[in-house]
Amino acid sequence: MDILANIWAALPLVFSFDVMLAMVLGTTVGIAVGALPGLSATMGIAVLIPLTFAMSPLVALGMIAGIYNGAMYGGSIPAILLRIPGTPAGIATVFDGYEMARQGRARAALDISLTSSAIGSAVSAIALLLVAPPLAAVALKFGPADYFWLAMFGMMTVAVLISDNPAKGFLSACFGLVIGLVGIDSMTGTERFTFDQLNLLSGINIIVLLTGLYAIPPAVGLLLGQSDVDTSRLNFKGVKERIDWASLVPVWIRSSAIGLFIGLIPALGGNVAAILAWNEQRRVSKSPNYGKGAPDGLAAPECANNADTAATLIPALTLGVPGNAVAAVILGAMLVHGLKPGPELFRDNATTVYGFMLTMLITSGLMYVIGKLGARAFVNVLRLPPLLLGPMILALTTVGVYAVQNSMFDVWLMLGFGLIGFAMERMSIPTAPAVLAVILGPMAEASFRRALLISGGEYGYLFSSAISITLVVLIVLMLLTPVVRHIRARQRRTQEELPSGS
Amino acid sequence: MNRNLLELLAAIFVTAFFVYLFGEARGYAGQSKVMPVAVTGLAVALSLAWGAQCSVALVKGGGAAGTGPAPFDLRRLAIVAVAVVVYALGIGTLGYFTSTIIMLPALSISLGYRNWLVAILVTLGFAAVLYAVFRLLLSVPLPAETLFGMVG
Repeated sequence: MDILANIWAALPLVFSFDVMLAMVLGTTVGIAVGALPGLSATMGIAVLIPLTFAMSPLVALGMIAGIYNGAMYGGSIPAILLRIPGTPAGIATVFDGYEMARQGRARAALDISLTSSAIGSAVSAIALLLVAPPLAAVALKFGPADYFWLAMFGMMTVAVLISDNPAKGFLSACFGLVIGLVGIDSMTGTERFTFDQLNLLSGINIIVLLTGLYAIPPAVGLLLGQSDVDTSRLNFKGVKERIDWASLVPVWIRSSAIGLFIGLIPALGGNVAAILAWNEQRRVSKSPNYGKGAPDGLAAPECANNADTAATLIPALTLGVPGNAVAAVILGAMLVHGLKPGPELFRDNATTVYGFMLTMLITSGLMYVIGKLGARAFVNVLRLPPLLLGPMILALTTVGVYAVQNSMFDVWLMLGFGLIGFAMERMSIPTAPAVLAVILGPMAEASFRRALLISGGEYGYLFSSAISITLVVLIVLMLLTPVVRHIRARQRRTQEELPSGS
Repeated sequence: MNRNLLELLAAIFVTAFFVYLFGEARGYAGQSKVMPVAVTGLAVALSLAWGAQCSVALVKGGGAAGTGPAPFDLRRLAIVAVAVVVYALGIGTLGYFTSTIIMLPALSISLGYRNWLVAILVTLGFAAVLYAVFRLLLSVPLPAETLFGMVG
């Protein structure tokens, strides 16, 4: 009943003029950003956070919800028309989507993609509304030791699962932990990693880090010609085709479930959800041309990668543990607006958090309307010259970061993080563990110290609750994953070599 | 350059960086040093492991390129790096909008964009939007505009 009452209280705010306008703008920008190869939802949100400083929290979060949902659909436009996924989540869309466009069915393919994306987003937002509040109520029972292990679990899962090489994943997390430690230790007053720089005493603003790591490398990529698009192949023509929507209903149900499940697991993202859904659909599909332009082969990944969006926010909003980079960026935006993610958020800022969850639902509908009305315009976004777009992103991020504290020091720091982010990309070191560690590191340290304070320095307290023990077991299992993966790969290699050797 | 060799050099640099931070962390007092020492110590161990992986791959694979992002033109990267540094320096001396109006077309044209008219029109339009948002709407006190200041 509390859920309904809170939704009811948030509804008038969500349907106010400024929040609606922010959602429309956010969704439009999101589709355009997603459509541009090399740019992602994470980058779009990171660049636009400084623009939201003067807005009320719900207006800002409405815009962010629009960007997030819109970018997931936008990624399918170049995947279908040019065989280039606009975002990593658009990888599986290429398989059947591009084939449909090649057969002169581009218009139908975009329609299927848009409808499937909107349905996936809506299901995900409803799940967020229904699952997050009870989970937040459970999270209120967590003690300091539980929070310590939860933060460790979040960091380790992402570090281990997101990279092929766990050493690189953990190294990235260590970098983030060090960044999170910069500044005056609030408990003892000790200056840590400040190197006598006054500008570092209050720590490094998370927006500076986020824009550096997520906005600068794609902008540089555009300028280096890494996202060049051959627009001569752009073909939006096609006969109007009758689509058998009823046959796609089971596909949407199955793919939404996959997307929701994947969204809840830290480190897995829309790309994993899309590929799993496409594979699962292939198993059950009756279409003879699956993989060669089948509508269900397009509907499955598009529905799944959008069903993943709001689901990734469930652990982020309720526990303060972001499962992936985009959730971390959204948490960063919430912190900027004075909203501290975690179970208290649902108690202290119920109207705002329920309003945010509602904007995730409403933007899924807006995405459908805007995508339908502006289809031709979004296709033409692909014609934007990357050599003009790159400097524009640089200029926008610069002024945005400067606006955080009116400091040129922050601008230089952001450029430094941009350089590090670019180098990390080149070395195949994931940046997501670093961002997660910046958020979770201080939470882990504070919880650890609080636990020791409560127990009088007794380390056994860290293992005294059922939640803590469960999390420790999960961490151990997580750490064993690379070992198991290695053993399986070796067994597979041996089995493959046996027939050829004998 | 061979990718494995490049990664080995990066691993050595990262190890040295974290060793320095480890030394710094050991100087902190009491509880303040627990987390920094643990994190930097772990980072040193991990970067050494990364370096060892690269060395083994280098010995086994020799000149193998390995998997990773597509190669890029170093000359273009140098142009971008210089432009970004000059741009950031320019903001402090010439002002944000003046620097942006110079940097945007100059960078795109130096990298091969040939449509001057579009570059200039896009730059002016973009600068106008930024001015409206950051100066008029958000009232961000940006560094003084030297050239515009002279005009009045």
